[in-house]
Amino acid sequence: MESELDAQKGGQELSNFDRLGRHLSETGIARSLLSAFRDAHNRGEHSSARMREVVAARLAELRKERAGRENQET
Amino acid sequence: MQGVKIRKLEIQGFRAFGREKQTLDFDSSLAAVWGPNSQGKTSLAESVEFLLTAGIARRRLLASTPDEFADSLRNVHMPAGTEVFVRAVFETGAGLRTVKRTLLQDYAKREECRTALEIDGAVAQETDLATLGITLSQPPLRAPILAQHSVGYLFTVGPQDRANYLKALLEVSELDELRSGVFALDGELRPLDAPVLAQLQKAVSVPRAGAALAPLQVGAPTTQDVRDKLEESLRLLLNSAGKPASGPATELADAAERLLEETRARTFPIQLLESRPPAIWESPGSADVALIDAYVAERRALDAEVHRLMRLFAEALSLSGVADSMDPIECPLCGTPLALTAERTAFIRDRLTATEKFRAAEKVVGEALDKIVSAAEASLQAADTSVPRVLTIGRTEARRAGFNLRSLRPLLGGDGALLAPWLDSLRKLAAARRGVVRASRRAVAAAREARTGMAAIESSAEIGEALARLERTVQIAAEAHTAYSTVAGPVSSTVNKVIDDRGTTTGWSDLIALWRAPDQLADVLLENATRASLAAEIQEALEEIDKGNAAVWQEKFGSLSAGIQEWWELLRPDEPTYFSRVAPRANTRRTVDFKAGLAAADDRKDPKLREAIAVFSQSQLHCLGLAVFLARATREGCGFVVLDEPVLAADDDHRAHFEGPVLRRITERGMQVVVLTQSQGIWQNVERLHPQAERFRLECGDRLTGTIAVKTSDDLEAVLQRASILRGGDPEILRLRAALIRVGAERFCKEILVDGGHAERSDLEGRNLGFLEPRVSPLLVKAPEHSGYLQQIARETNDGVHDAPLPTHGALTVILGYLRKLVSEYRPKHGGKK
Repeated sequence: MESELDAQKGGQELSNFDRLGRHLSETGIARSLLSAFRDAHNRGEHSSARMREVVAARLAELRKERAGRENQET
Repeated sequence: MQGVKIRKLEIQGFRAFGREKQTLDFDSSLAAVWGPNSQGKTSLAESVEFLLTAGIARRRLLASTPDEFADSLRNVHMPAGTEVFVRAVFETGAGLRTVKRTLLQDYAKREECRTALEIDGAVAQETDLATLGITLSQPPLRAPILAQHSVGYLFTVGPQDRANYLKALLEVSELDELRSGVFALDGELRPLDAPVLAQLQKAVSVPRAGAALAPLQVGAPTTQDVRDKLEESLRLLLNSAGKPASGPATELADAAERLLEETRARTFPIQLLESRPPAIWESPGSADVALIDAYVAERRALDAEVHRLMRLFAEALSLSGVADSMDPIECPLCGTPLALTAERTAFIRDRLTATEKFRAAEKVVGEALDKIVSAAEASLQAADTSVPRVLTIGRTEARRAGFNLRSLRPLLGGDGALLAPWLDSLRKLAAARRGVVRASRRAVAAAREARTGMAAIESSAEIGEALARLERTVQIAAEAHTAYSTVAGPVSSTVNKVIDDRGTTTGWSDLIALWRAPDQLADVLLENATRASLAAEIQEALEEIDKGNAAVWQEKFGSLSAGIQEWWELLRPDEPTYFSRVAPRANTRRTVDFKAGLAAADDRKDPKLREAIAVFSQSQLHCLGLAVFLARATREGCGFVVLDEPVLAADDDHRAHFEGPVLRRITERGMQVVVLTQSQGIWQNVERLHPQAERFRLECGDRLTGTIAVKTSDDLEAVLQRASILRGGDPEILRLRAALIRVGAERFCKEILVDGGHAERSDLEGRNLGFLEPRVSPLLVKAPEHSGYLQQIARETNDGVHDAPLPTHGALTVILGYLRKLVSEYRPKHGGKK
């Protein structure tokens, strides 16, 4: 009944998060969001705050990149 | 052993069960319960559901309104005060555990029922059941109970509910939560709604000048881009109005402001209405006034004659030998001998000192009076500069500038809502200004008069009064100014807006304001560009997650399909119409389809796929419901399942498959199964095919007793009889016969231990022959070989119930003889001798 995926991870069935992770790119924000969601989920916490932290961090990163580019131009 | 097993079930007062507690002991992994219609089979199934879930799913699935199930759990004939409960002994990985649920309050019209849960006699919470290893599935079918109302649930429920149930079953709901969470993040990245953006929008609309700003509305301009574009736009504005536009950037705003005022003034001289905040008036205060009185006192202290001769006295005292002479000397002024004595010299010195104090006071008060004059003149000036120019320029000049109420009224909408209060405040401000002017002039005049005629000042009263009046009028003017500003602001902005909206100056003020603070606009544009960039990343992430979720969804549906197929093929093997798969419909997550394969022949070649719900017969749908249920139970690792009428009465074909291969597969999977049926055929066939099966019969007693459960397979002689009639060397027959002998031996052992007072029946629940034999053998003392008989039975049947090697027919005949011998010796009530 179980597919070959279920036999992975040392015989343990892959979690849904593991399964989804296999389909996400290594560098995109989707993976960071999945990671934050999973951490919150596993701790029984609300995930929205953790995901907003990821967004805020990425926003800060983008601001910094833009500010850096602007400084270079000027 | 896999999962938790039920070893005993006790029911009292629940639905069809009455005040007499009914007990069902389950020693085997398979039990068949028979009862005609309305004898309590569904009540028995739902008692397990109630025990585990504190309710029954039928209420949710079948009731059109919840009040239809009001007072439905408690047996209607039960005497008041009689306890309603279901109690079960579960065999768990940690030994036997007792779970009891008592009904405290039945379903009411609108309320759920209330129950109390106990585990091993202690109050427990619902979550504690999981600690025993009892796993519950997704609502609404949480308990491992298959009933008539639940077998077709997935085929009668709406598409959304079906999809939600299966999603929950496949445990992908957290992926949906992730998706929803990511989707909601878009709200975090909404563009800032800053006023500067509205200003930019307006500035872009300025004819000829605004086009230069259009590039700022797209992309991510730098701060320098913003400055450059605003400067370019302002120069275009000035140029288009024929004004010099090549001046320094720092002067552009003022030049544009002047142009704006001029242009607006052509319609109405609104600048004449604008007031400036009055300068803060610094009152000379009472200390300065008090100096005047101090001066008057000093002056009075000085003798007029001494005052007249004061210079002569000073000259005399400055002569050598005069100031420090102790003896009388000649007066240096008149030459009188010995006229200037020490006493007279001291007198002159005192007068001179008094005169110096007076002069100091005179100087100070002069300065104070100058200060008062300055302060009063400043008030006079402020009275003109802080009020709207329309109050100071005179009517003629105002008219010449274009100011009149007839032209102002339509600019304010003509309804007077703004005009009337503005006029009222303007009149009050004019009156206040006149008060300040009068008081200032009076204070100036009084202070100047005192300054020029200080010798004639008799008191500070007049100046003090003038200052006090001036202070009051300044205060009144300040209040009037505040009141005027409050109503004049909206008047000015309304007039400006109307003038601007008439087209000529639209967006000019916005352009000027943006130029005065370009960094603010640059910051907002940069922030919004950054947010837009991240929003695009989130959108990409969402698409990635959607694709990933769909893939996971397909994987898990594939797994579930395989599970359902397994049970389907056991129930209805080799039929040309068959269950193919369960899968979400392409391009949607809201619809899940059960696909049926339709082939022309049993080989299932070239099948056409159709919706199972549409093409399956009632019998096929029933089988599909059973297959889905068993796939779910297997997937979730259930230790036991209760099947209430799992096979339709008229469905002989797949009934045989259910009785044999399906029940065998369930038990092989380590699941305990309790089958409830009204078919005597199924009931008997289960016993025939599964000798380890226990059989119960449900009967209906009187209305107070309710359903009675009788364990018919407790008849030891019947077990032995069935074992005797099985003949032949077929492995299946040998396995059945061995199992029956073992079941008989276990029942024999339990009766020996219980009847002999060696154990309580409850201690032996779930115990097999491996446990029982060592405890019973020492008790078989009537002949030396008796204990050996029992050991031999245990050894041979242990082989028999497992795969290999099977005991021979002859060996089984021998140990059946041993068992009959033991029964006759030690259990005379079963036909043995005394």
